[in-house]
Amino acid sequence: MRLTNSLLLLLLLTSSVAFAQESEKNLKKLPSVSVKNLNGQTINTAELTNNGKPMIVSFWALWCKPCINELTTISDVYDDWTEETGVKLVAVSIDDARSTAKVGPTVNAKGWQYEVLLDANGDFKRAMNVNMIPHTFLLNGKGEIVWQHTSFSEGSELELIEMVKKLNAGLPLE
Amino acid sequence: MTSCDKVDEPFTKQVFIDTTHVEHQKRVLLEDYTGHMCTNCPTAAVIAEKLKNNYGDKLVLLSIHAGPFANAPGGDFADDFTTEAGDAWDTYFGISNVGNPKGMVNRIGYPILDHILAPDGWSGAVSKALKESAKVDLRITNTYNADTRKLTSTIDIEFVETIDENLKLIVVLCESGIIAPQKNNDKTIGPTPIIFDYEHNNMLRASITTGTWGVPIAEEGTVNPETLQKSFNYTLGSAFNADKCKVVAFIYDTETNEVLQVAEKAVK
Amino acid sequence: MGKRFILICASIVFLSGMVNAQDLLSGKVSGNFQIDAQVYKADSAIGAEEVSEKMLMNSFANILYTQGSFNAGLRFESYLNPILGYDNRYKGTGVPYWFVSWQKEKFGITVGNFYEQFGNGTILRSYEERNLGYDNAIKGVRVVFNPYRGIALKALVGTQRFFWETGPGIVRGIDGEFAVNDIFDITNESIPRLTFGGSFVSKYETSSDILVGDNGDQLLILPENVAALSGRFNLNHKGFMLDGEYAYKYNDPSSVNNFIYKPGESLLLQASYSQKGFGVILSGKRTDNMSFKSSRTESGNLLDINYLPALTRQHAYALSAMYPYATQPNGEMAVQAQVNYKIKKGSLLGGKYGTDIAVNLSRITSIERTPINDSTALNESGTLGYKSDFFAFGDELYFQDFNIEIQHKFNSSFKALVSWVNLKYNIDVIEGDPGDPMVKANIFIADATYKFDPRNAVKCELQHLGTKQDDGDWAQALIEYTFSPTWFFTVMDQYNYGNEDSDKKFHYPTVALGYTQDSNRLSVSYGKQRKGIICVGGVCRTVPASNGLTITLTSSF
Repeated sequence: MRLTNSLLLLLLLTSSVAFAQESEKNLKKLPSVSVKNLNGQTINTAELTNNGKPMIVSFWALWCKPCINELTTISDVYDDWTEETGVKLVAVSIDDARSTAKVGPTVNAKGWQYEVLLDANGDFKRAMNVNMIPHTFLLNGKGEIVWQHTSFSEGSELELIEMVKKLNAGLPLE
Repeated sequence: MTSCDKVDEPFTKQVFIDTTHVEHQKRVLLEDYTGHMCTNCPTAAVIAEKLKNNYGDKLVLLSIHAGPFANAPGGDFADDFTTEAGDAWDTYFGISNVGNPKGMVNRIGYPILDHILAPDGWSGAVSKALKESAKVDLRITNTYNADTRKLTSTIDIEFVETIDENLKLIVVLCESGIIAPQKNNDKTIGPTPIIFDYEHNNMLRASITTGTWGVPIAEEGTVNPETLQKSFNYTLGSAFNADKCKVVAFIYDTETNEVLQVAEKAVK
Repeated sequence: MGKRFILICASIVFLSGMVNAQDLLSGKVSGNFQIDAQVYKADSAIGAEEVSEKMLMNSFANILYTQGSFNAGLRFESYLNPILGYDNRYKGTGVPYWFVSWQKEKFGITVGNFYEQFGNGTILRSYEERNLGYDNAIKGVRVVFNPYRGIALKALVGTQRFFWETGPGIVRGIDGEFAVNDIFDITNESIPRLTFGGSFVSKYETSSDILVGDNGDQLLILPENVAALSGRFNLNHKGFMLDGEYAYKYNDPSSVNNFIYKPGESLLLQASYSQKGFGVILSGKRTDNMSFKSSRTESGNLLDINYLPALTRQHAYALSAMYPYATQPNGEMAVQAQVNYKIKKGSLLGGKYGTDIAVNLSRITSIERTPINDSTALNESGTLGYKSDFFAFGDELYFQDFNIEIQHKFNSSFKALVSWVNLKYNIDVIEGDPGDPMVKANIFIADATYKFDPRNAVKCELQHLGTKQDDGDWAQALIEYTFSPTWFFTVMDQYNYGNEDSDKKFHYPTVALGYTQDSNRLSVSYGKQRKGIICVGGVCRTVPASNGLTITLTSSF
């Protein structure tokens, strides 16, 4: 009788501590915003996933030279990246109605392999607190935002892939 | 939700402007902030003139050259029509910063941003301001000596109602009939891009009251005087044509900046 | 003993339930902020006037709180005083933007300030562009309802932002979008994807006295409720895309259209095809009297309810972006074509990485206008204004831009871009400078980057603008050194060597230094900036030349 009671108590204590720990972690996940993809379908950003693998979300626009630079540089090594780490890059274009229709043809001609989303009125950008682009986010396998970076300079993609590898190995990022 | 007003022809109706006067007639000040390099400004001046034709002496026009379009870089536009007072008001009310042409009607709306009005909004603001009655009245008497070019302007102020606010009086000199180039983009008014013999009217030339913000005439907490008379002396510069000059005087509330009453009188 | 035990267990269960409720307090907070400060020095040569405050500053901070379906946020803004080029009416500090929203799968509601776009925005778009000082946020209520898979309905009511206040008009709108393939659960990819949508927007503004006519004694009978409708469709199949949006606006006499009663119309059609290595897009747009504001006497960029995009390419280099096109809301006919092509890797011209080529052409003319009858002048206030043939192109050329851009990466350390832009810019119409001849310019850009090692790179940009009109020829050179991922250092000069007036052949040099750490960035630049002019809807505002120091700090957390 006493043993069962103790076990029950232990169980209850453990579960309540587990609940408390969940709320302490507090890492932000992707918010729920409606955007479109290049096929014209509406996508809910909260449902973006890479099946437990790390994911990169990068905000860009056709008129942003450093953004095109960053995505072109990564595109050259993207096949290696996906093969080695399983990482996926989602490129969110904040081009508005003036240039939205040009995104598809431009991206396809360049041969980018990313999943491209269209955030024409900046709802996703606002919900992610993006100020200046390029702004790149790194999400771990659980979909939590663990790192973010603004602006691009030649070579910063090396830092990005290092962090993806660390996430895969379960190592801390710092 | 099915809210749509479709107006059928005719789209306008004849309006009959009330030309009757009451004893202490409320008059309204319309300030047009402009510049000789502002291509859209002649259109605004025409709007102001039409309003003046309709309202007669119930409306006082003042054309203030200030801001970047009033600069005098030389060539066709070497005349400097800016004034210390005009620049000060333009900076304070932020008008040219928004753009030209823009204006104010009785300076109502400051500082909550309604004070800067596009020319199309002037007629609505003027008719609205004229619906009020005058709380204070002023009368201008001018004496001018053509030889010495000395002007003495006497302003008689009468409080129609008790006003318990801080009030100030500003008196300025303005001149009409100044022929000088003006940039223009409205072919119905004159040649584009420049009307070389454009007639500038109601141009603010100088402040007669020293300083740009006038002299105090009433103080909050003090009883309004029964009558009040202020006299000002001013010597007209040689460039001014005294035949076409006017004295414009207005009383305003120093806290809200609202102009309570205005009057104009020819110098001669 | 038993009772006490039950009590303890019950407390623990209750407490763990409480901890779940504490999730309400454990919602996530995030935000961003930006500060732009400029210190000015008077420089009469280039026309930089004395700034009495010496230093001007724009800043804002956004805070967002998310917890499950509940979101709340606010933006704190401070302009003490607004930097040159920004409307001075922004002066001050406050919280002009806040909202609270609750969103579930089928239903969502937002109260407070929000941004929204219906379709392509031709009858409703409220958005922000902080760096341009543009913000027409709607303050009111918005409801989103998705009753069934593939059907998205929205409704909103509100007033629009006017600096620290709201505009005089009330905006109401509803929008419905129907994704046919989702409604009928068609997942077969060989069937084209069709989406269509429709919106209805109406604004209410109380009537006021506006006098028109030769004697200024005709009072306009103004419609207090002005409505606009639009319909759109989007067809997507494999590499093909076809998109169209038509809008119709009922009588809307306003300052922008000179108080005419003609209805407004616009049609936007876009068709594109793309596959790996090749993309082509063709678009056409007609705009006729489509300025739609929530104040009939407002002009410029304020209180716009809708958005009329310029069908031109947005250039990314200073000299190719020197003469940007501004949409003429009263009427324009625009066409644009763009081809993107990648010369394959491994081919002769492609090299190891391939070569990207982009060719773009846009051409915009006026609409055709004929008088409504013999006794009425074109655009006369208080009349229908004019008649216009829907498919006719007008006689006046507003803008033409033909450009080619070629990008090539030679090896892992060197890449370059070259571009040629041929421009025809109707400065008379676009900047309101009547009599000035059409600016015809040829612009050449060369941009090369060399990487010393994985972290250090240097970029060199050379630009040239050749024209016989306006200020004449310009040349610009820029060198930028970057140490990834943190530092950058830039030196550049813009030289108006071709100015007819030898006293005005100014140099505009700038030096900039920046530091980035994750999502924080600080940049400092010092130098001269040439003047610009912004003319929208009959009101021109000058962005004065400036000389001085600029500091920008931005951060996201």
